[in-house]
Amino acid sequence: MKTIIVKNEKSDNLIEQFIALYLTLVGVSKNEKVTFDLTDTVWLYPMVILPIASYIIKTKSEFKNSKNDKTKGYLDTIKFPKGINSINEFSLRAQTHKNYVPISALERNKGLEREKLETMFSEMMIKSLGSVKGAESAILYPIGELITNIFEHSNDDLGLVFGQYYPKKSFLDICIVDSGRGLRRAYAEDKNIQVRDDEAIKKVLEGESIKAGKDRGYGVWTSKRMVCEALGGQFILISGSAAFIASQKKQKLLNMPNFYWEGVIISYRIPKPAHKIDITPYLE
Amino acid sequence: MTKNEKNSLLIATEIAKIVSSRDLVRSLKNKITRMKTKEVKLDFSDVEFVSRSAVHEFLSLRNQLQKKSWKKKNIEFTNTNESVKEMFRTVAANIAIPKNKRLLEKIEKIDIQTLIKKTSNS
Repeated sequence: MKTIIVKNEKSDNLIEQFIALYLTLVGVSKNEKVTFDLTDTVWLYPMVILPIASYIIKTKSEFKNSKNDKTKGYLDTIKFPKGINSINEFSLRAQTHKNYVPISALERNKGLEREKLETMFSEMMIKSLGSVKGAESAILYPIGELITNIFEHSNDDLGLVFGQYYPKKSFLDICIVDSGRGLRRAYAEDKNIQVRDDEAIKKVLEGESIKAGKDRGYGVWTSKRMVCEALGGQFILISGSAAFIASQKKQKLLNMPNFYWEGVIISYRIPKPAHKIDITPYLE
Repeated sequence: MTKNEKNSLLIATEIAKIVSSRDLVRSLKNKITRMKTKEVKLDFSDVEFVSRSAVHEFLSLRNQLQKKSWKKKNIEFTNTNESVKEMFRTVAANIAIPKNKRLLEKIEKIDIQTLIKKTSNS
């Protein structure tokens, strides 16, 4: 079994994390069982931790834990890699570890329990950022819409969501991952549209919904606007061999040869809101 | 069934304080159909947020139940907070007059190796 050494990101920059994830998974074949070697990791961010957790669950891959006690303790606390799928356990964990929210494993067949778990996760995220008028809705919008997409479009039965607030750096990182069919296959299978991965991402951003119906096709674009424009954050979406990176002023679309994520990874960073936020202009 | 009145359903209890999923909104259909009264209130007290997709589903549900010839129901959404109200208004307006497909501007195309070089130099 191939061993993949997971390295520390060079800085806490979200794009550095994206690159670290790319370098971790580049060259890995579809559903290849691997061992992730976390031995030398000192700190890991949601954008790297969560896709690795998802990959381990899907392919039954293995991992070697960090030799750093703090990092090992952190991974144990957040229940890496399988996460928590019950509201009782989440609630207990939230009481004992107030600064660390565990990985939430949202299961399609759990219906109501899944919704309540998502609510608990979202409430913890809001609490971590403090109370700023209007910020709640701006934070809840992308979480709700992007998780909904997993169960409506990905055909995956499991969605993972994880977030971490960094009080000294004053930002919140959230990552949402599925290992489903990805955007390209969703367009091919549901709408008979044959496109490349980067074209599929572009279609999603343009609002071409995978499912028919009025008022569909807003989720990703409006979420990106909430994160980048309303909250001044950064937003990254990966599907297949392509990625979209956006900040308040710049947007990039890139292809990643020899890399393939079966499903969708969305990761974003929100700086702690300092002033009142009005989401109305972003609700198209 | 959780009711705070005979003709009303508390959404925070029936689903959650934050409502995201379409499927859970859809699952209310049977409960509403079984209610004896024709006028049904969906009570959003304590609901903090409803996603765009869930709002769309609530509106579709109301539309479906109002059109039924048998066991027809008139649905009213009550006790919505400001953000929930705003979401309902936005989605309803967009169902009535959908926006055109948006054109994306200013997306830079870049390959991963260039991004890695740029990032390591900055």
